[in-house]
Amino acid sequence: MIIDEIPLYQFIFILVFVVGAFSLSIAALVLTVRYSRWVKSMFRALNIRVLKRYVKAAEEIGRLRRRYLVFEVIANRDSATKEEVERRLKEAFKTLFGVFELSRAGIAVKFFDKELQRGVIRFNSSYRAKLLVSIGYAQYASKGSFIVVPIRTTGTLKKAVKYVTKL
Amino acid sequence: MSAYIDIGYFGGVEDGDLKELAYFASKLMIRAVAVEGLRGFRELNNVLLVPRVTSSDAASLLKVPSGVIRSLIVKSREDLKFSSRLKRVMHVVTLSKQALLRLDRTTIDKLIMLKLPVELRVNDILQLISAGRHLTRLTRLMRAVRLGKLEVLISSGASSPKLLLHPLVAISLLEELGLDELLAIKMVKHLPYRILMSVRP
Repeated sequence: MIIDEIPLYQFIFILVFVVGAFSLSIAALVLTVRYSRWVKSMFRALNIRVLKRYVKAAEEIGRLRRRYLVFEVIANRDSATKEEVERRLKEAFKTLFGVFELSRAGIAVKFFDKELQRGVIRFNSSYRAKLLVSIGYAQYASKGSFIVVPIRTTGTLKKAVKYVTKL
Repeated sequence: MSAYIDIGYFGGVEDGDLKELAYFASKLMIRAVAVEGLRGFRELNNVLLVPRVTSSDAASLLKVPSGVIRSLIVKSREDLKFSSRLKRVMHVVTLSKQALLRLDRTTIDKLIMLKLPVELRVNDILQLISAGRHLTRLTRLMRAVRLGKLEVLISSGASSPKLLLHPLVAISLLEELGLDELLAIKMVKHLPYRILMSVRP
């Protein structure tokens, strides 16, 4: 017989290995049955839709930075004031996207040079496209009597003010 | 090629109007404007003014001489019924306000079959938005653009020089309508340039 041919210590080693593997698989089975609900919820967490949501949330956190838009106003010199520019832009934004989005966008005119008719708008970076559409809508709503020309976007107010005076 | 082109200006073509148009275009970084009803190419204030003819009758575009941008304005899907010979005559299909509201799956399929660039006018879209009209059908059109089935180009559709729009505004509007930035830039920058090059003598 084969058992007679192999030495005793090898036989004991194989036997211990088989018994150990068998007991481990039994233990794994018991644990799987016991924690099946937990395992299921873990797999659900790895669902692609959930992952997408996490990625999107992470991106939004990363993207939420303040940006500064350098702009020029083409309008009647008396009507182009810091307050007026802010009011018109906020009104256009509110009409298009609502009050909630307006509050999240953080739009504010931080600097305005009345002589040069140029200024700086602060906004949250993820709202850049919405702000630009609002600029277009404000122009349309005023029938071209109040035009805001976007010139450049910067990351700091200091750099933006530098562009206003340098241009 | 770093210049922006506005393919649709529908205002006056008197000398004063054109000077004002060139002034506003240069302020808004636009280097060429297609002007409806203009006779011949002109250059004012470093802005190239290109003649353009828009008609709702495809057959009438046959009579238009070369060197002019020919556009067919569409109000309903019935206007898209014409022979393939006429198709070769036109450069772009313009969607009117009525067409924007009536865009259904059949119309979009017909536009895809035509294989011509479709022009959207920003001022028309803003007018519909301010009137509180639904633009859900436009989103359907944008889906076809995203899938690469259709090419859309955007123009200001301005009726006066003061209503010319900054190209960044047009790009942002396309982004808000569901296109990604690169595709939006292509629709605002590259496609009008290609049309301009095809008509320039």
